[in-house]
Amino acid sequence: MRKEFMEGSEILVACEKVSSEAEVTGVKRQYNSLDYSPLRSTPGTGTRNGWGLRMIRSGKLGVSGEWGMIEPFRLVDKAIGSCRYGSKALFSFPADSPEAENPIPGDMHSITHDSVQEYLTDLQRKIRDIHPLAALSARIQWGQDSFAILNSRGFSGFYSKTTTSSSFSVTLPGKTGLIQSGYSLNTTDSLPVTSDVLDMLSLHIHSGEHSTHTNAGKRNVVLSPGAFSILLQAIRTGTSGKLLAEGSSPLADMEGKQVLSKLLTIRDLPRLSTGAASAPFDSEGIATRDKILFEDGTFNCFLHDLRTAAECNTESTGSSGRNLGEHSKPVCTNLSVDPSITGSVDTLPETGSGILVTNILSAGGGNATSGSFTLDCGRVYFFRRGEIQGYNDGCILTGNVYDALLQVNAVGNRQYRIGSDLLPFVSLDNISVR
Amino acid sequence: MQKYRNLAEKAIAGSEADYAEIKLVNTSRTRVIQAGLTHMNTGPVEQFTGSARVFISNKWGMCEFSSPEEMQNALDRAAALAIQSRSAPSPFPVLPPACRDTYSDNENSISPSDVPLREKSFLCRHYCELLGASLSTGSARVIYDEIVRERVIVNSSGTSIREIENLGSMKTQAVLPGGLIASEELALRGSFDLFKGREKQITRMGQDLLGRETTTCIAPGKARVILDPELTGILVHEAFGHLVEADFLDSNPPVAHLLRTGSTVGSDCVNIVDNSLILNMPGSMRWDDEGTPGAKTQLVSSGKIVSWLHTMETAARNDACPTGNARISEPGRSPEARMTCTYMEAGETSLDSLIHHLDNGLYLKGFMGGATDMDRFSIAVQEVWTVRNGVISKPVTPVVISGKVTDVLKSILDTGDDLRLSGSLSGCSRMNSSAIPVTYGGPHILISEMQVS
Repeated sequence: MRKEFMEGSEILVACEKVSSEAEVTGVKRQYNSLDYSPLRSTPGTGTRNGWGLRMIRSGKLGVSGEWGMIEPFRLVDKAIGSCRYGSKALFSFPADSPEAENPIPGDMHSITHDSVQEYLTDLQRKIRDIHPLAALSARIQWGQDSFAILNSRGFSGFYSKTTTSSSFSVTLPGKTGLIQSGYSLNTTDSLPVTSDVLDMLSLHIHSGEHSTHTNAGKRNVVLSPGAFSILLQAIRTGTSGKLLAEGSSPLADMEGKQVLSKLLTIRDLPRLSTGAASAPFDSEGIATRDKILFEDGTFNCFLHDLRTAAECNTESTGSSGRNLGEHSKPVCTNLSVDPSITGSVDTLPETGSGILVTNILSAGGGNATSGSFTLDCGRVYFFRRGEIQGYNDGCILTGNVYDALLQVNAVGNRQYRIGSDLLPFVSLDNISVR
Repeated sequence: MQKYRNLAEKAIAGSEADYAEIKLVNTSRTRVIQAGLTHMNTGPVEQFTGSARVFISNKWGMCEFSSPEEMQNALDRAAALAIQSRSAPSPFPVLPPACRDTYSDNENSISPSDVPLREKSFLCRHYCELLGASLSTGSARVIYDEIVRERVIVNSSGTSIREIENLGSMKTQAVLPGGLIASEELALRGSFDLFKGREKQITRMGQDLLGRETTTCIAPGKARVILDPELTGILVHEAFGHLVEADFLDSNPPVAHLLRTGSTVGSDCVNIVDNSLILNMPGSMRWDDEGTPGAKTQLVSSGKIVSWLHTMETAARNDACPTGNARISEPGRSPEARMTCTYMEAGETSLDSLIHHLDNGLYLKGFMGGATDMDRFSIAVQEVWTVRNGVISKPVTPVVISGKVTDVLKSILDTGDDLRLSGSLSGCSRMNSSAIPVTYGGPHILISEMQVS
């Protein structure tokens, strides 16, 4: 066991006489950061550490967690309290430890506060080359995260990874009001490529076009990777074994059946070398593996943690995710949608005419469980013969995600990183626009 | 925390920086979820964080630490970062008068943290059963969230304050098989009592939802509308409030010019304030995250801009005073100018009179979600009723309202006499920042023209 995680053993010892099984999870984070605005930037640094405890006592599952100052006996005491109102434990913690403690590869040793300052100053200059009044605000945080899991059945696992989290926001005055555009991504790579950031902020489209009127009806809609990511929230929820176990999954009994367009292959990639959400084992210690969730539109598999696997009489897919002190639930890690081999980046030439959506303002009226959505797109762009013709402020898309993703008629030929996901542009036919 | 406060005072006293500040926060979070028959509880999850912030030669440096023993080291690291920083210079912050005081929610009433988990779990289960029974179909869910937060702020201008907050929130949600949703959140600071005895409201919520089931849609377009107090609050918060956060305006001079003091943003009946001293609501603060005392700040008076929301730094940039709105969304971040309890002040007209004046239009109630894209906003509405000849007529399917904030504020014809506040523990997010507790509200308002989709 790594020296820095030795306290975990002490917590396990404290659990010996009060639980039938116990598991401790340790997190240590060391980071540097730079908050950037046109007026000033603030360099920062920091450390954070915490422990989570999960125990089975009288057949019930309880959790507790602490960040900062850890007191093992307080942690145990709270977990005992949580067991009193906990759900029935339907599983045992794993006993087999992973073979090696390999760090996930990363590439950020060259990053310093000075280099980030230079990077953002250069980005601001490039943004102002496109629009002289645009203002960039950003936060970039980079550092190393270490994770450890120990349990009373002898499991012991550790890994570390370096990550960069970048968040950009640009505000600029338009002809009819203010425009804001944002982009966030997390990766184990170094700083994001500037041209990709500019692409995802859609600044080249924002300048210069004229406003046009939109008629309600069914339209071709092209979604940028950022907008597509919001639509995929229902897929993240729908593929979760939690919904299946609760009996409310729209994908129940659909394994092996065509659910989405044949143009869509969607993967969950916890082993992706550049994925910020990558891990050799999940938050319960089960080894992770890359999975195809939808292959050419056919639904392949649900994601399970130990609990939902027990409830559904299957095995964990190594998909447990949780914050310290919280219960586990099955989650997607780095979601990836395969790009097309042919075609263009943004699918506009293939689509011909329609609406390009680069920014979802709000998704308040939807239901991730059923897949219904109501998306306010803020500003949208009209295109004809693959060329942007004008824009409209205030456009609502409505429908059901599963119906909409059956209507995909083109997929972009390259992926962009959105959060920790890899997504292309997609074109959807017959979407209700008002 | 008192002993760590003493340690912080000692560390700050030894600092040679132009300005130095230590903030210590101990947070305890608890959540209880009852979804149908499924019960789940987490916490309390404790988190101790500290951050040191230093200002040297017009540059800032920050360092987060996770143990009080690291306090001195963190101050040194923050100072080193400030000295090495290649940032453009910042003006010296406007420091409020030194203050040494303590405030605790626990002194006046039974606060959420005084109530045993057993009772909270029982209430969630009880309300969920009631809601489920009132629906007879569909699903019901009740989520109770609690945050107990103790903050210590010590700075080199002589301020040393300690504030203990007890925040509780209960979200009740019902969904019919067709997807129609009813959702309510009751969030409070300092008292648990109002979470009890809600049986009648819960039952009525389910019955009202059944009564709203309809397939009638309205055509998108412009409409005369009345917004209920919750939607008025959301409009004020999302569409207007974010625009007068001074750190955003400092970075956007064209917008700052549009929203300069004295410029008209609304009709004569529009009066908007931010009041962090409503100490029974989330978002309120006896002192903000820089130790500036909370205050009531008039933002708009008779439709004209009066003030922006300031931190110590933005006050210095704008020749103003800090307004007690410096808030930190997560440890290790610089304070931002953020809203606390923001609302439109009440007028003198009753709801009946407003509906009579509306004549033909829509009565919109309840908030489902929303966002702002600077001066444009979008709000998903939960409940929509048609009004014909001054009488509430029938429900139609939920809509989204959108528009440009100044256009809408200028279209307000009248404000009701029924100010109501709503709070949320994770009610306010800003790009690049995490959610923080806030309160928003207002009276019913009559608007001559609103885009409804």
